[in-house]
Parts: sequence; structure tokens; C-alpha cells
Amino acid sequence: MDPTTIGLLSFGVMMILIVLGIPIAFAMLATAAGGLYIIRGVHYAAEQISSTFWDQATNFVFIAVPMYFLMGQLVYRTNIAADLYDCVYKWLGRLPGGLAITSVVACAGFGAVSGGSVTAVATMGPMCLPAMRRYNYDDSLATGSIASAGTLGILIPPSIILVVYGIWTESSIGALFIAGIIPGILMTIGYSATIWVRCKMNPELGPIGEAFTLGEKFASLAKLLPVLLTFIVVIGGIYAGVFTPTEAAAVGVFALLLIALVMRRINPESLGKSLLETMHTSAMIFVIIIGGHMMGKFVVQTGLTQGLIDWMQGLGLGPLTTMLMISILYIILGLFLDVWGMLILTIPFLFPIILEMGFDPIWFGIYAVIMAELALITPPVGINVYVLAKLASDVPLNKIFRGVAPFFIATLGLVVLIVLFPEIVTWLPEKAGMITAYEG
Amino acid sequence: NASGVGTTLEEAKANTSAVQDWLGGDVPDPEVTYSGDVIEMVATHHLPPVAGLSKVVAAGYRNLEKMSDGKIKVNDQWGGTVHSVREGRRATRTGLSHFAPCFSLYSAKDYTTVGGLGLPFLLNNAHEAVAVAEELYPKYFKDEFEQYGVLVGRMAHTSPYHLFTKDKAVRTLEDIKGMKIRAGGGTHAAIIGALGATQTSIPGAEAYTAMQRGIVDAIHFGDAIAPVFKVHEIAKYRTTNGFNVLTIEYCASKDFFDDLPKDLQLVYNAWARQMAQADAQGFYSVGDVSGLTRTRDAGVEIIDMPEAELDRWKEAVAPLTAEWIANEEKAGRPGKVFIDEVKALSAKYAAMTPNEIFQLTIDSPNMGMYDFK
Amino acid sequence: MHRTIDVLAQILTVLMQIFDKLGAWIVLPAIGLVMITDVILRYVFNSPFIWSLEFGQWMLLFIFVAAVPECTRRHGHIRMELLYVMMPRWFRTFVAFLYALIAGGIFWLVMQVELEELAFSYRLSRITEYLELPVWAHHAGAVAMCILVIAFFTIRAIGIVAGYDPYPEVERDVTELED
Ligand code: NA
Ligand code: NA
Repeated sequence: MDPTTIGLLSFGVMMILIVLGIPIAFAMLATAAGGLYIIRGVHYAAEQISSTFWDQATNFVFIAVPMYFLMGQLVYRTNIAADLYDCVYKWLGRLPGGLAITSVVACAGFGAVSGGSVTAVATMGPMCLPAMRRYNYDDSLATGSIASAGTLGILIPPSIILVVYGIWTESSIGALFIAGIIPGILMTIGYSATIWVRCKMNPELGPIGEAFTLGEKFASLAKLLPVLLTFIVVIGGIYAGVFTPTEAAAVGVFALLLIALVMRRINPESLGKSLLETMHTSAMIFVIIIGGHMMGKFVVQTGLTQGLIDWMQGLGLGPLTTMLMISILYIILGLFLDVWGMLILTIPFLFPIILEMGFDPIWFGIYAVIMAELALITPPVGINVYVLAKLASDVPLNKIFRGVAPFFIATLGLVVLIVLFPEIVTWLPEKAGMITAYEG
Repeated sequence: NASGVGTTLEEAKANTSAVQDWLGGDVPDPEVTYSGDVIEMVATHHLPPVAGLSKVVAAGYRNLEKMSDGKIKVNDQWGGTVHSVREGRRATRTGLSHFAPCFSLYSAKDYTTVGGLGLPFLLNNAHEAVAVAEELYPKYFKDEFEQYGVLVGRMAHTSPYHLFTKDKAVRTLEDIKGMKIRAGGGTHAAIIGALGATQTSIPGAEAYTAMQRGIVDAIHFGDAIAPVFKVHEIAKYRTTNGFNVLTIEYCASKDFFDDLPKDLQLVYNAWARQMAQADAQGFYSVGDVSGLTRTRDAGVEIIDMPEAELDRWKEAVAPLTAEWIANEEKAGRPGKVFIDEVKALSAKYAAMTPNEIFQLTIDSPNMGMYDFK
Repeated sequence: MHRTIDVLAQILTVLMQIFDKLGAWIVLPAIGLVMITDVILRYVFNSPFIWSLEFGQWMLLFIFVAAVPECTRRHGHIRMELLYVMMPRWFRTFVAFLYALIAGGIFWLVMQVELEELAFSYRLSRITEYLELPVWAHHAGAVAMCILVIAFFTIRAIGIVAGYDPYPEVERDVTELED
């Protein structure tokens, strides 16, 4: 059997293992190890896993992963998230579909001080959902908006996915963070507009909420302070050159701890829970990253990568057609794969093609994150939807997936926008002078 | 003329014409008697295939295939797809690769004498450094590397390092005091400290942004590689000081070499010595000239210090060499003799043209790097 | 038989949690503290630690070494549950067994290599550049992680064969779900 066939077959094996319910990290590790064993022997396979483990586990920049998770945990366990929701609610609750819009904006705010997406859903869901139910919001709209808005957490900086993308492609994490701001805001506006238009057309979907006086509204602004302060410290500090994006993660944790101490919102128990959760999440992501790297290393040995690149280049497609094909590929992969699995399996192959076609690596990072957001909400495997289904156990899964559909379309709209106008992504980091790429 | 090959690109290419021809495929034709199967040599690199250095190195691999009459086929894999640069030595020891970069500066404490090559103002340019280091290898470095289960493929060196500063021009020793400078491993950090600047550790992936945002005030780079990392876009000044060259070894698999038939071992050695010079002259020394031009064209002010000022810098870092020698002697190694030998060889090769050095490499290759059959 | 498995499982759980808590309460905060101190020393006093990068790098390894076993014990590795949850008990038992074989086997391979590296680094007295930490200790940490994980999958596999899963998969609290 030639290596290319082995490569193709092993993809089948990996998918079978994943569908059976073997954890994705181990499905990738087993397939890669098995494949390398067939091509290069057991010694090579064992050396490669161990060497990959060692190399990733001692990569300084990865420290950002546990730290940005810890930030999310702290925001949640110190009720800073609840404050955030409360304030946004008072300001936006009276709009058509106002409580759903509140969920979107509150999720965006949570995203600005944490690094993940599912954490955003799990944190904001228990606050947003009961409020919408109290006002008889349509189940589909209520659940769909939270599940979708949770994905803003990985586009709006800080973002763990952008950190890892930066490490893989050796692009500047700082530039990626800054590049995520405008698309993140656009996506927040896009999601809110989607809700507003739907509720304007059919007010039954999202009845108008509670009214607050202007005094109450302004008084609630104080509750935004912790989130605002933390975001300014973290992103401002990166921009001002006080610290690197990796260090910013530790600074963010420190800032939140300080705020929580001042507000008397933290005790050893909640701190301990935050730390332990952070450990487990990091370990999980870490094993997936090793699995993905192993798959990448195995697939390179099979020659599949080069074959794919040659094939794509042989087609002689223009940049737009290429992006269309890549987008379709991502949507299909995103149906079945989780974010990490999807990115780690594609970036090593697509990145060279992208560079070859003259796309900016920072731009592609933002593009890839938006595509990853779709993976989180599309059936059959949409982690955000599953989390929400557990929060709203009486809402059937297909109803949530239906509620997600308008947001899916809105996200595609943003994808079209950034493909046609890449400046949306590159303008801000360019203004900050942060765009750079490796050059031979 | 820090590059040792001239000041214009035309001059540099003319002065390294022998290496240019070699990289173009014009190689010696040693005798090959082996008639068995083709032997696969897996060569790995962390750089992507499009990088300037990769192109030189890849041309070298094609030359090995040619010189071995096709009996050695190089399977070259780029872009860190097999292992990261930090894992190079382990990869060649354990069989993931047969030939890979394995920079000693990534685990500086694993080595003793080889660190001496990075002492300030000792070696002047890449090809001279390679010639000196390879000549001293059997006597000083062989055991140091072989204890880790690997051979050395070549004692590659970068071109000399200069100071690229973001906002502040460095014209005197006083100017550099307190400046935050990104510190590499090994001797490099010590040099920064000795000058009164602040050693700042920033991971490689974040170095560009760190300088751009002002976390560090300056970065050290050789001219050949500075534009690759787009340093010219963020630096306003470049002060010529050529402190030191970095030793960036390539490791080779011992099993692979030991399994080669005698005639191919000889071919391999001849090739590796030529490759070492070709890489030094063809990429680093010539690249130094084109890189400096590019940096200057980008509007970076090039600051050449007067001899008297440079002497003050040399004085400031002189204790490092003294300290290094003392440490070596304390450990029972001939530190003083080593430095003297480096200086003598440096003078010998400085008096030769790049083409003469390359011819010497072809005519009488160093036979002391490996244990032949 | 069930009782023996249970006792073993509980001992292992305690060990894993000790590791986990050491990482969470000591190593993770230590990394954060060193990074913050470094930022302050650099920005305010212009004299950062030269060893902070090295420290973070090696301590990160211990975070993973400490967290992977407990994460695994809690069934924390994400999987596609769609088909799995719909299938009968025997199917799930089969998948759990297959998972134990695969994952146990992978950590077994890692352990073999890490043992070799441990001996290699120890024999050559390798140390890190600035803090001069012994490199073998890091490999020892990796070996300890492998032993814990292999023990987990072995006990679970034996349990499954004996018709008793000592580490059943329970519904997790959504607030503990992870990205
Ligand atoms: Na975020
Ligand atoms: Na999906």
C-alpha cells in the first residue's frame, strides 16, 4: 500500500473512532500513531508522540491557554458576569427582542474578558435564559441567540484559539488579537440586528421587557466597570507595549482577582474551583493539540499534504474561488468536528496554500476563527448547542438548531464581507503597525 | 566590510563564485563503488521551503545526491513538520531525522567549550567561523557532541550580530545603558549584561511584536536574517558592532553514518564540509551584504562607530572572555589555549579569500569529524 | 473482585487529585506570580528576571503532567456523543474498553520513551540554562503522569471485563463544561 492510500484510509479510521465515541484527542493520537507505525515503524511512532508531547508542554506561549480560561472562570464565579448582564439588560431590554439582544451583547462583553466560547455559553446561559422565558420569548430565538452569541468569545480578544493559531503559524498573537476587535464588534451588531429584524417582523418572538428609568440605567453602568477595566488593562497593555499577549493573560487574572478582592467577591472555595476547572480544561485542550500535531506529522509523511497543495494549485483557481472552496470545506468539516479538531486538521494544509495565494496570515487567522464559530453551532456536532440543551432541557435539540439558523446566515454574511473587504480585519492591526509575516 | 565578501552584491557574488557554482550544481565527482540499494537520508528543518536559507540547504541536498551517484537519496522535510528546532538533537539521536539543525544555544548548559565560539569579538564572519570551528572540532567539540549520541553534520554559524534599535540611536557605550534588549541563550545574554543593558527574555514568536510595541528597545540580529524577520520595518537605527557570531550546529544521525559503506562515508564527509562553507558563504556572508542594503534602503540609519568608541565596547565585554577562560581552566579544560587557537585560525582564514577557503575544503577536507570504517 | 477494583480505583483517584491540587494551588499561581512580577520588574524597574521564560516553560509542563490524569479520570476529554448516547449498554461498554486500550497504549508508548530520556538526562546530568533545574526531573514527571493514566485505564479495563466499571460516566454539571 502506498503512503497516500494509508493516509486516506486512516482518515476513515479516525472518523469511525470519533463517531463511535472515542474522545477526539485519542482518535487522532491512535490514528496518527498507527499510521506512523505502518509507514516508519513502532520506534518512530513512539518517539514522535513523546517528542511532540515534550515540545508542546514546554512551549512558553501556551501558558496563555490556562490563564485566559482562568479569567473566564473568575468572571463567572465572582458574579462579575451577572453584573454585566444586569447592566446590559437595563439598557437594551426594551428593544424589540431586547432580551435576546441583551444576551448577545452580554456574551460579547464576557468574550472581552475571557478566552473561550463554550465557557461563555455555560456562564451567560443561566442568566439570559430565565429572563427570556419570563417574558415568553420564543424558545428557538432564546436558545439560538445564546448558543450563537457564545461564539463571540473566541473572536473578540483575548482568544485561546487565536493564541494557538499564532503559535502554529508563527504569526503575531498581538496582531491577531487587535485584528479580532472590529469583526467581533461587527458580528455583535450583526447578531443583534438579526434579532431586531426578526422581532420587528414578528413581535410575538421577543416581547418587550421591563422598563427602567434613566437613573436606574445610569446607576447600572457602574456594574460594567470590572469588565471594562479588565479589558482595557489586558488589550491596552498589549497595545501599549507593557506586556506580551502571553503575559497579558497573567495580568488579566491578576486584575480580576484584585477587583474581586476589593468587591469581596472571592473566597478560597471559589478560587479553588476556578483553578481546578482551569487545570482540567487546559489538560483536555492540550491533549487535543498533541493529537492534532501528531495527525499533521503523520499526514505529512504520507505525502497527502503536498498532493493536496499541488492539486489545488493545479486547478489554477483565483483567490475568491479558493476561499469559496475552503469555506465549503470548513462548513462540512464543522458539521462533524469540534473547533480544535477542525482547525488542527486544516491549518497545516491550508496555511501554505493561503500564503501562496497572497492572503495575509493574520487575516486568515480571523477567517478561520469565524469558520470555527460555525462549527460550534451546526448539527450534528455543535458543542454550544449541546451545552444550551442541558440548560434548557425542555427545549428539543432540533428547535435550538433551528434557532441558530439565522445567526448561521449572519455569520456567513460576515465571512463574505471580510473576504471581499479584507481591510475590515487588517486595517486596525496595520494602523497599529502590527502586521507582519515571515518572509524567505 | 563585516561580511568578509565585499560591500556590494555583485562583489559578494564574485568573491564567492566557487560556492555559487557549487550551489548551482557544479560539484566534485568523488568515486563511488557502492552498488547496493539507494539509501534514504531524512533531512529535516524548521524553516519553510520558501525561506532563503532553505533554498541554499535544499540545493546542497541535491548535490549530495549527485556526489553519491544517486546512491544517497535525501528526503528533505521542511517547516517543522517532523520536529521543532528545539528537538533537533533528540530527533537525530532517536531516528526521527538523519540531519537536522540542533543549536547548542537552546540547551547551553549541555555544552562547555563550544560556548566559547560565541565570545565577543572573537570571530569575524560566518565562513571564517565555520572554517575555524570545523578545524577545531575533532580536538575540542567531538566528545562534547557525541556524548549525546549524535554526530555533527556541520558547525554552521550566523553572520555577526549587530544592534537594531527602535527609537534611540546608539552611538556610544553610554547610549546602550539600561536599554531593554532581547536576550538569546548562552553567551549572548552575558554580553548584553556586560554592556549595562537589560537582558530581556521574550519568546521568539513574540519578538517582533515585543520590539514593535516597545516591550524591548532593541534586538540583535545578523544582517542576513534581519530582513527575514522584518526588523527593518520596526528599527530606526542599526549600530554596527558585530559582537559575536552564533553557532547554529546541524546534528547528524550516528547510526545513519555508521551504516554507510566506506566510500559513501567519504562522499558524505566531503559533501558535509563543502555544504558547511556553501551555507556560510552562500547564505550568511552574501546575505549579509544584500540584507544590509535592504535595511539601509528601508530608511534605517546605519551607525558605524569610530574605532576608538568600538574599543571601549571591546573593553566593556573583555571580562566575559577572561571569566570564561577561568571557568574552563577550573574545570580542567585548556580554555586559554583554546581561545589562542581560535584567534590563530581566525587570522589564518581572514588572510584567505572565500574562494580559497572553499577550494581548501574541497582539496583537503577535514577527516577528523567522524570515525570512518 | 468488585471490592478490590473499587479500593484500587479509590487509591488512584486520591493520587490523581493530589497531583491535580498541587498543580492548581501551587504551580499555576506560581507561574502567574512570576509573570506578573517579571512584567513589573521590567516595566517599572527595568530589571526583569532572565529566568522567567525558562521557569514558565518548565512549570507549564508540570501543569499538564498534574492535570492530564485527573482530567482523564473525570472523562474530561471531549467526544462526539451523538451516536454513543443512543446506543445500548453493551455498545458503550465496548467503546469504553476500546478507549481504554487505545489511550492506555498511547501513554504506554510515551512512558517507554520518557523512561529512556529520563535515564539519558540523568546519566549526563543535564540541567536547564538559568535555574539549573535537573532535566531528568521533568522526564520523571512525565513518567509519573503516564503511570497514573495507564493505571486508570488498566483498572477500568479490568473492571469492564469483570462486569463492573469503577469509573462510570456521569452527567456533568454544565457549568463545568469546557471549550
Ligand atoms: Na475572548
Ligand atoms: Na458543528
